[in-house]
Parts: sequence; C-alpha cells; structure tokens
Amino acid sequence: MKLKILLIFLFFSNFSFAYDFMPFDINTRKAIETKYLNQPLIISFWSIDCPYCIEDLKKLGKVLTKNTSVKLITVCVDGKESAKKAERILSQANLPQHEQYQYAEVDEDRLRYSIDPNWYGELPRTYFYDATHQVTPFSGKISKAFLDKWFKK
Amino acid sequence: MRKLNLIIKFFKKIVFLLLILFCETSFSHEGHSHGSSVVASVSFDKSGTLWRVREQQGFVIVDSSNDQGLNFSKSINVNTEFQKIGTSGDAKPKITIGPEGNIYVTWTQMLSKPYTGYIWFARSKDRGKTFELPQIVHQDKSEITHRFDAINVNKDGRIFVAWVDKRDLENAKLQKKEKEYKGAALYYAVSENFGESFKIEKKIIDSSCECCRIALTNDKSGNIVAMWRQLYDGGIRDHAVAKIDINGNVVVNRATFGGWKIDACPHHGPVITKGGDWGYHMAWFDGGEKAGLFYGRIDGDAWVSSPAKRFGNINFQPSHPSLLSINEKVYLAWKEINEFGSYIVLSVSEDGGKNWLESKVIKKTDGVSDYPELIQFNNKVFLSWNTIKDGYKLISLE
Repeated sequence: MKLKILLIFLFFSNFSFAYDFMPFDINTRKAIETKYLNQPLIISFWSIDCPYCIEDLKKLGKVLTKNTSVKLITVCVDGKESAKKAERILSQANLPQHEQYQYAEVDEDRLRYSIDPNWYGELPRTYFYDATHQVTPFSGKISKAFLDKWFKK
Repeated sequence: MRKLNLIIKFFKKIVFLLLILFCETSFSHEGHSHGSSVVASVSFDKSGTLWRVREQQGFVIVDSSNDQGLNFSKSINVNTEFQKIGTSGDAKPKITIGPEGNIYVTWTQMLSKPYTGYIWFARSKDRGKTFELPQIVHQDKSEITHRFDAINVNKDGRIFVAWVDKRDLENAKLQKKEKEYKGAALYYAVSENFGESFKIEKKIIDSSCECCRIALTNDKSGNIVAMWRQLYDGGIRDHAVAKIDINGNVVVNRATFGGWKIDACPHHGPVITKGGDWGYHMAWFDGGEKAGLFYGRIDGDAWVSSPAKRFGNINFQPSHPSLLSINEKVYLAWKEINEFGSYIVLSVSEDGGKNWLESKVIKKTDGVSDYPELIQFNNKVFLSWNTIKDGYKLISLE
C-alpha cells in the first residue's frame, strides 16, 4: 500500500512540471508595476543565449541578499522549449526567492515593443524602479558603480 | 504458491514503475520539440528557380519554386537526425548556389551547453533532388561556441564559410592570462573542391562581438570582404571590415564609428554589398543614445568610410537591414515594428548611395515575421520575407 501511495505521488509529481516560470505576456509588465506599487523593484530580462546575462544575475543576487527590501523579477526571453535549461541556469545564479517569468507570446517583437519601444532586444536588459517607480532602464552588463549608486538612493 | 503470488506482485510493481519512467521520459522529450521557425533564406539559380531553406522541428528543410515564390515543391530534409538548430536572435540557416549549379546549405546546431554549437554544411549536386550527408565545417569539435554561420561562393566556385568561435577565449580562461580575453573570435574555412571537403579553419580576428551575424561579399578577383561587429577598446562595439584574399592574407579596418559602448548581446549584425569599382555599401545597427539604422559607403583600397546616414523611423525600431546594388541603383530594406505587427520599409538610391528617394512601406503583417532579404535574378530585384500569418512573400521591386 505504501508503495502504491508513493507511486501515485511520483506519477503526479511528473505532471506538475518542475519549472516555476510564470507566463510573461503583453500585460505582464503593467501587472507587475501595479502589484509592487510604492516598492523598489528590479525587472531583469535575460536569455540562456547571453553570457553577460548570467554574470549579471549572479551580481544582482549578491547585492539583493543585502538589500532585501528591493523586489526582484526575472524574465527569460526564450520560449518554453528552453524552460529546462533556463531553470538550471537560474538555479545556479544564487538568486533570492523571486517571481520568475518566461516569454509566453509567439510574436516576440511585438511583446518587446509593448514592454518598451526603446528596447531593441539587446541583452541583458534591466529596469530599476525606485520606490516612486521612477524607472532607469539599463542595457548590457551592469557595473558595480551603477549598482552601488542606485542602491544608495 | 504464496511465494509465486509474491513474485507476480513484485513484477507487477516493477512494470508499473517502468510505465511511470516511460511517461517521464516522454514528457521530458516534449521539452525538446518546438514548431517551425519563421526564418527563411532564399537564392535563385541560373534558370530562375527560387531555392528556399527553413527550419522545421529540428530539421533543415529545402524546397523550390518555379513561379517566383507562389508555389513550392515538396520539401526535403537536409540533416538526417534531429538537431536543435539556431533560428533565434541573428541566426538562421543559409542557402546559396555555386556557379556550377551546386546548392549549398549551412546552419548552426545548438549543443547542450549554453552558447555552444557546430557549423554544418551540406551540398546537393543534382539540382536539389538529394543532399549529401552533411559535414561539420570546422575540425575543432570541442563543445564550445561555433555559431552564426555565414557563407559566400565566389565566381570560381570557391566556398567560404565564416563563424563566431570561442576557442581562444576558452584557451585564455585555461591559461588564466592576466589580461582578460574580450569577446569571441571569427574563424573561416574554405572549400576549393566545390564542397567535397573543407581545409582546416583559420582565424580572421580576435575579440569579435559574440552574438551577431557576419556579412560576406566578394570582389572582382574573388577575394572575400567580410563585415561584422567588433569589440574595440573600452567596450565599444563598432563594425570592422576585412579583405581576406585567396591566399589567406587578412587586412582588417574599422568601418563604423558610432561608439556604442555596451557589454551585451545585441543580436544585430551588419550587411555589406559590392558597389561600383570604388568599393562597398554597408548598413548596420547602432544602439545606445543615438540608436538606429545607418548606411555608409567604404572604398575598397584605403578602406575609408563615408559619414553614417540614418534611415528609418526611430519610434518603430528600424532594424536588420538588407542591401542590394545593381550598377548605380542601391536598394536598402529593413524591418520596423509597432504595436500591431511588423513591416518592411524600402529606400532606393539611383546614384550609388549618394542621394536616396523617399522610403516606402512595402509589406505589413500583424504577426511574427523574419528579417527582410533582398535578392536578384538577372537584373530584377526581389524582397524575400517570411511571415507566419501571411505566409512567404516574394515581392518584385521596381
């Protein structure tokens, strides 16, 4: 009997995919902004295909363990066929517990345009929101100097 | 008898376990499968048949059209086993046709480690009826970056394949050199027997951008001229041109001076095409504060470039240009996007790129689309553009 319960448990655990990504679509950025109104926030767009992104995520992870008041959101821009790989990379970045999203729109160009018409798709792309939601967008590897300055604010 | 029952029970449990295991593997396999990608590359052969390469569920597929892209033949698979094929960012399979009529296809296979890949090549000697077994172009088979394939065939049928390669970066990491190795490198391999085999690969340059397509063309003598995004001092990602002659001599010059300083993956390579006797037309993307699409000319002796001219509407992300030049007429096409979808814009110059007529929107789609490709048959120019919603479009340009 015990074995059967164990087996049933195993069986269902297979269906509840191991990946924790939430879908990121055209409305998600607005929804996140509303949900975390009046809270400092960092939204980091990254790809499994971008070496600078992984370094950046690790760097963010380090700073955020000391600044727990700042919310982190990560958005993987690769489709769901890359979820397994993305999950593996993310789990190695030592990030605090946070909301993990993944692109869920077939038309990536349109999704990107709706997120930010000034973003051409270069990665990493990070949006720093202060408590009043003044946004500083940042393309490319984030320098330590920038992070220090922003967190001091 | 009880013992036998126990044994049967035990076996039932084993079968049950195996079933679950089977379910699990079939589910994890799901993770690999994906639909067809929107990217397509095309080329005309001498008789005017249009040859097209795409990616479909892990296979590079080739088909052809005898009525300028309206109807296509049944496609054939080029690779014999499932591969994860590079189709995102700036990557796509390419097709080109040699002067003797051979059809050549290249693509990047993505390997399991991040950013790693192999550059594959396949040829058809029977006008696309069959493709020979594909071969990996490079002899270095380590699981590192070999990505963003580019192919050019010159008038003598000499095949030149270039790609982004990280072997020097990996070596530098192992040797723990004091000075950090920046970016990737460009390598190339040549076939002088019409694609039967490739000579051992050689390096063009160190410290190229890691994730942008390479543009190739050739000059009257059949030497290669390449353009790519290069990593200059201080993290500046401007473009370089190189002439790589038939003997393998490489001369590199800086071609653009936008000064975009960024440590990122722009996924945005340039284009270059031969102009008159004076040199080459170039188009490229620069990011940063003055982001946008630019055009310039560069001469083929001193490699001095003209001031960059801006194209496109900056509010709609002009990107991924294509260039074609016939005598004094120059065609420049690019993609723009808005909240409804994407469209292709065309600008034409009738005096070798000095003055440009007003640009026009050529075609729109409200779904996913590829980048534009300009191609020619005899002296006629076509825009080739693949879209999900409106299908494949080959549009004749005046």
